[in-house]
Amino acid sequence: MKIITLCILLVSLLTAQDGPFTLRKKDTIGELEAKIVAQIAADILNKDVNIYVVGEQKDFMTLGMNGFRIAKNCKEANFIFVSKQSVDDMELCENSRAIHFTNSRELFNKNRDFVGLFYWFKSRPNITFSSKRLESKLTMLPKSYEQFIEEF
Amino acid sequence: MIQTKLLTKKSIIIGTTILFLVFLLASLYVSTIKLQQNLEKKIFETSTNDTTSIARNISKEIYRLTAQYGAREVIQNIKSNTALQKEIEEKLSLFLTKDIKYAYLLYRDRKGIFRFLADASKQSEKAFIDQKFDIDSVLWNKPFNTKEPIFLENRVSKELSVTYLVPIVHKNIVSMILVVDFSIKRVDDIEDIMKKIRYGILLLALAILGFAIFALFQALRYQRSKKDVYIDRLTKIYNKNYLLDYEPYMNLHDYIICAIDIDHFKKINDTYGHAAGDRVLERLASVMFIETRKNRDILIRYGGEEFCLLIKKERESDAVGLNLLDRIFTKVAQEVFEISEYERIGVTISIGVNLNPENQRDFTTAFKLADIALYNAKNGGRNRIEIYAESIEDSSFLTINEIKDAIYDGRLMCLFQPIVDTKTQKVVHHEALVRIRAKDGTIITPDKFLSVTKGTFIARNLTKEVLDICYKKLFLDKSLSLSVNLNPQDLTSETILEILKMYAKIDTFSQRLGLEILESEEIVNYEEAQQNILMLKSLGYQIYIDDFGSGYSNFIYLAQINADVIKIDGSIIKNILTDKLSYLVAKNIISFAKEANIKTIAEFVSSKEIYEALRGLGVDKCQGYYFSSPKEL
Repeated sequence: MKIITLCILLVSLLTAQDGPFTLRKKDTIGELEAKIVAQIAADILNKDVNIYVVGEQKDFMTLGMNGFRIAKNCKEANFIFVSKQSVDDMELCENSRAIHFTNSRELFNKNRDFVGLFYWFKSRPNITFSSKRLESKLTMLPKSYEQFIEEF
Repeated sequence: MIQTKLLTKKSIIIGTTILFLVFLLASLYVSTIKLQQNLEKKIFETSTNDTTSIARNISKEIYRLTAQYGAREVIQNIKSNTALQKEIEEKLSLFLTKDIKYAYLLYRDRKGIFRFLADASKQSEKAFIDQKFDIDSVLWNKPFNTKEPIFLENRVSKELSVTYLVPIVHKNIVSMILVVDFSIKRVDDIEDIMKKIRYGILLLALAILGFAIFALFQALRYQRSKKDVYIDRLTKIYNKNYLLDYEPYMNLHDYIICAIDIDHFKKINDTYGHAAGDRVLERLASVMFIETRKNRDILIRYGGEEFCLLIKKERESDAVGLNLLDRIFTKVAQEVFEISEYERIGVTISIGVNLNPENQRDFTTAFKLADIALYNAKNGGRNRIEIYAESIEDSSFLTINEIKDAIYDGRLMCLFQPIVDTKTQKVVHHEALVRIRAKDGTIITPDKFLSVTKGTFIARNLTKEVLDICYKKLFLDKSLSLSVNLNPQDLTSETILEILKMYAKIDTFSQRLGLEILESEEIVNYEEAQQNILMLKSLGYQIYIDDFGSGYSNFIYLAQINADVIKIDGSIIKNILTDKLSYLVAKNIISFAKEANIKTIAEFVSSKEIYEALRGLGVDKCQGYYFSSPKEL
C-alpha cells in the first residue's frame, strides 16, 4: 500500500499544474492572446463580457472565465474582437456599439472603430489604446491601463 | 505463521526494490532539472560571453557619438538627427547573428513609458522612432537606477531566451539603454531533450507502478494458492507440505516437537467406515487446535491419523509446553466423537514428545525421536504421553516414514534361509526373511523396523510387498517351497486375505507357501483371526506356529488353529546343550508334536553339536547358520 501511495504521489507531483517537478504545458500563442484579450475586455467593461469573435473562436471557448460568454452575433455582443485572419468579416459588425478590439495593426490603423490593439512586437505582447477613439466611444479605462494609452 | 513469514520476507524484498527504484527515478528526475539548468547556464555563458563585451563596446561607441549632449538633449538630438540615427543603427546591426535576434535603443519618456530611439532590425520588423515598447517586468527599470548592465530571462516568448540591457550614461544619468535579445536555439533544444527524458522517466515510473500492482496481484494469488497447498482439506490445519517448507527456517531451540497418533484408528475405520474415521480426524484436529496458542504453536496433520505439534517454548522452560500437551490429552479423552447421527465414541491418543530437539542436527532427526517416543507410548499400552529419553531407544530404529519411503522406493527385499530335512540334511524349504536396503546400501534387519510398523497400515503394506516377492520366486521356480511371516493383523486384513485367496488359485502355490504365524493373544482372543486361519488351511496353505515356546505358549491354541508345523523358538534351541530345562522343553514340544501329528522345525541351529542333539530328539527339520545364513535366491 505504501509503495502504491508513493508511486501515485510521484505521478501526481510530476503531472501537477504547478510545483518543483512540474511538466507544465505552456500556453500556445493563440491561448495567451485569448487570455489577454479576455482580461482586457473584462477590465474595460467591468461587467459580464459577451464577446463576439470574428475569426477563430477556439482559444476563447476553452478559457473558462467567470462572466465571460461568447456571443453568437454582433448584436448580442458588448465586446468585439476581430483577428487579423478574418478582416473581411468585419463588415458584419460595422454598426455595432460594442467595443472593438483587434490584433491587426493594419486594421487598427485603417478603421477608427477599433479602440485598442493587441500585437506582438520584438516577440513580446504589446497593447495600444487610442485616447481619442476611447473618448469618442465614451469608454474609460482602469488606471492600470494608462501606460498603454497613446495620444492619437 | 510460516506462510506469513515467507510471504512477508518476499514482500519486504519486492517492496524495498520497488521503493528503491521509485526513489532512484525521483532523484533522476530532479537531477535532470538541475542538469538542464546547468547546461543552459553553460551554453548561455559560452554563447553570450563575446556578445556582452561587444555590447558594452558598442554602448561606449554610441556614447562617444553623443557625448557632447546631456541626458535630456541626447534623446531629442537622436530623434531629430537622421544621420546620427543611421550611424547608431549601423553599429547596432553589427550585433545581428543567428543567436541575436534584435538590437535596439530605448529611452523612458516622462511617464516612464519605454520608447524606441533606434532599431537595427530589417524593415518589416523595424520600430519607428518613439514607438511604445511594453515592458513585461519592472526589472527593465533597474539599469536606469544602478547604471549596471543586466540579463533578463524572457518568460513569455519561446523565441527569445534572454535579453541583455546595457545602460548608456550621459553626465551621470542613464539616458537610454541598449537592448540585445538573444535567441539561443541550443537552449531550446536542451529543454526539448530534457523534457523527453523527464517524460521517459515518468513513463518508467508508471511502468514500475504497473509492475508493482501486477506483482501485488500475483503475490495475493500466490498467497491463495499457497494456502491451498499448505492446508489439509479435511482438518483445515496445516499439512505436511507446510512442514517441509517450514523446516529450513525452524529454530530447533524454539520448539518442543510432539508426534500424536490416534489409538486404534484402523479399528474405527474398519468398524464404522472411512466417513466416520474422517469425522473423528476432523473433530480431533479441532479439539487440539482450540487448545494451541495462536501464532505460537503449530499443529500439522502429518499423514493419516498422525499429527505433529510444534509447541513454542517459553523462556526455555518445558512446563508450559507440557501443560499444553496435558490439556490436549485430557480434552481429547473427555471429548465425545459423533461418528453418525446416532453413534458416538470416545477416542484416545498417544503422544511422543521430544523436549530437546536442539540436541539433534535437524528437524527430521528430532522428529524421529518424538516418533520413537510415540512408538513406545503405543507399545506401552497406548493412551499416554511418552517423553523421549536417550535411554528409550537406539536411534538406529527406522521411523514409520523411513519404512514408508523404503517400500515406495522398492528398497524392501527378502533373504531366504534354507530349512533342511534332519535325516537327509537336504534343503526342503526356505523361510523368507524381510530386510530393508538402506539408501547407503547396508541391509537393515527387521528388529530395527518391524516393531515400529506394528498396528499401522504400513505393516499391511509390508506384508503385501513380501508376498509379492515370494510370488515372483515361486512363479519362476516351480520346485521352490517357501514360508512367510504374517503378523496377527494380516489375518484380519481383507487385502492380505484376498491376495492369499488369489494365490491359492494358481497351480500349487498354496502347497508351496507356508504361513508362519506368531502365536499371540490377539489371535487367541479374536475369533475372526482363527476363522481366517482355518479358511487359509482349507485353501491348501500350511500353517506354521513361529517361535513356539517363547512368551505366550498355549497348547490349546495349537488345537484351535490346527497348525501343521511348530517352529521351536531359537532361545530354547541355542541353549539345549548347556541348559537342561531348555533341553527338556524342546524334548517335550517335539514329543507332543509327534503325538499331535504336527511337524517340528528347530530354529537357531548354529553348530553340529546342536544339530546332533536335535536329531537325537527326533526333530523333523532344522534351520540355522550351521546350514546357511539367509541369502538371496
